[in-house]
Amino acid sequence: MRTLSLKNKETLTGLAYAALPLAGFSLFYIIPFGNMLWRTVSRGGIFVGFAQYTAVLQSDAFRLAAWNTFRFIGLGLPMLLLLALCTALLLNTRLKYKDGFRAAFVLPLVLPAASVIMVFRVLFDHGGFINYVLDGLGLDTVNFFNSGRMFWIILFLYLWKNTGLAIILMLGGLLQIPAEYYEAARVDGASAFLRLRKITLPLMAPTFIFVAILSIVGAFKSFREAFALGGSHPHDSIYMIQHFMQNNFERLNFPRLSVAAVLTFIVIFACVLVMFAWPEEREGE
Amino acid sequence: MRQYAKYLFLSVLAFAALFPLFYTFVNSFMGAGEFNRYYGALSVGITRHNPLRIIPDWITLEGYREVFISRPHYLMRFWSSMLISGSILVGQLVVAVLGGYAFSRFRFPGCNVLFFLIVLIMMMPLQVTLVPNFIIIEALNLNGTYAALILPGIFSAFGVFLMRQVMQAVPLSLFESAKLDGAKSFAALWYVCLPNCKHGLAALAVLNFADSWNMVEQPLTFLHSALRYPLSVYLINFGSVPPEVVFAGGLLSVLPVMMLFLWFKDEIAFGIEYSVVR
Repeated sequence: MRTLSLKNKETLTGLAYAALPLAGFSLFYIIPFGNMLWRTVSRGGIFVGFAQYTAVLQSDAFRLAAWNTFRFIGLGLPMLLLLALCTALLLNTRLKYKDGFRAAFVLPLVLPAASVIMVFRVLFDHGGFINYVLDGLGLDTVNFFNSGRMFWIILFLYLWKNTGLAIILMLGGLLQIPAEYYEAARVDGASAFLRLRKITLPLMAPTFIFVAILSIVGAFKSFREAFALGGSHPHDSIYMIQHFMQNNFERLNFPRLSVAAVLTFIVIFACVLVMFAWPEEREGE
Repeated sequence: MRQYAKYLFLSVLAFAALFPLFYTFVNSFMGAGEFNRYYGALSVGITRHNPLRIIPDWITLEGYREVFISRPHYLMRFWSSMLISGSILVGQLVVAVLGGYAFSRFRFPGCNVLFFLIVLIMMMPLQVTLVPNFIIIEALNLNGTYAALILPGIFSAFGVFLMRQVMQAVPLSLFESAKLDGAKSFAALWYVCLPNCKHGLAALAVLNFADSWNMVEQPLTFLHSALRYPLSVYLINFGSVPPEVVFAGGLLSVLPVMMLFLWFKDEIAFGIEYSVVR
């Protein structure tokens, strides 16, 4: 009886602490999301089916935006994960100035977009430094901003900004792998590559997925840089879901906007489900 | 040999990470005349190619005079940004500590489902959450006010997630001895838990402040007058920024975040590392 009341008390205390955050999340995110979801399939309070979804899925602007976003993440994410993993592995060795390197890598994450954009303009603008070098070498100058090359510039900016966080997170994952595993493997004569493949990579799987999802969120934030360099209607190669939505916001086109939000939600939701399902599977092995 | 390759690789990355800040800093001492000579081609878009000016020929505080004295609207926007980001930071710390404590130290019905929801909100890009935010901001009649930026920011889910991870790493024995000493749950939070979570709080403070300090999408969505835009939006709109103050204004916008960053630089990485503990 006593344990039961203790348990009840703990439940109540826990709920009391959670109350304010949960109320806020419900009010600003969960409830209006439900409202938005309902609006995408109803008109005047009556269920009308998925006509709005088919309309958005068939529109050229959305298809272009979705394809570009997919291409951007599909190319950028593996690059980012690989670069971050290599760097984290290096940082996890005996190293001087380790803290300095770590701090330097986090810095891009907190810098305002504005301060970076100017540097990129100075470098890549038609009248910028890279063209100055090309011109000096007698080569043709390149129009970076109003061409398909814009895609690669935004991709570079994405890597520049987000790799640091991934490095730190992966370093955190690496530090959690018990040193005994490596020692045991070394005693058994496993090579460095084999240790990486058999110990580090499998044990890092949850970290990878976590980093991947945060990096996908970061990819959506590349809108800021794309917006700063290309405005609201940039070159076709970099017109992404974010542009699609921001432009529909400006036109107050809520049905299209909400449908795009729900579709994006579904994709991210699937990723999060995978992340939550993965570690359990590993423990069962 | 391999040692050198390692340091070379890391140094190249560190250089790339630091270069824009360094460049902004050095060029903020460039005068308008020199600026127009070197960067003039950028603003008008003519094809005249520019060498990279790292160090200005003539060091001057002209840009800073413009930003701090001649054009008061910079400072005005600076303080708007401060107001917005500062309010979000304070609110977010309270929400994150309460939520993190609840989800790391207590079991209650539905706590796993609720935590899953929080992770889900955290993972959603702004493009998904802006529409729900817009719906509720309209309903509360806050459209066009700074509250429309602040309130959803306070309830950003990342803080609760990070604090939960960090608090879970605080040894259970500390809480048990506090309980034996007769400490109530809030006393345990205040005197036992928080002092052991300083690195997490620091990481959260810096990341959260930087995030709201740099916000672009929310002001574009909720503020309907360009006059009210905070510094972050104003500065990425190059058409509106006079060239001679681009770098000085840029540095002004980096300053608060940089100060926080340098102040907590050792704690940040350590605090973020914790967030992968599951």
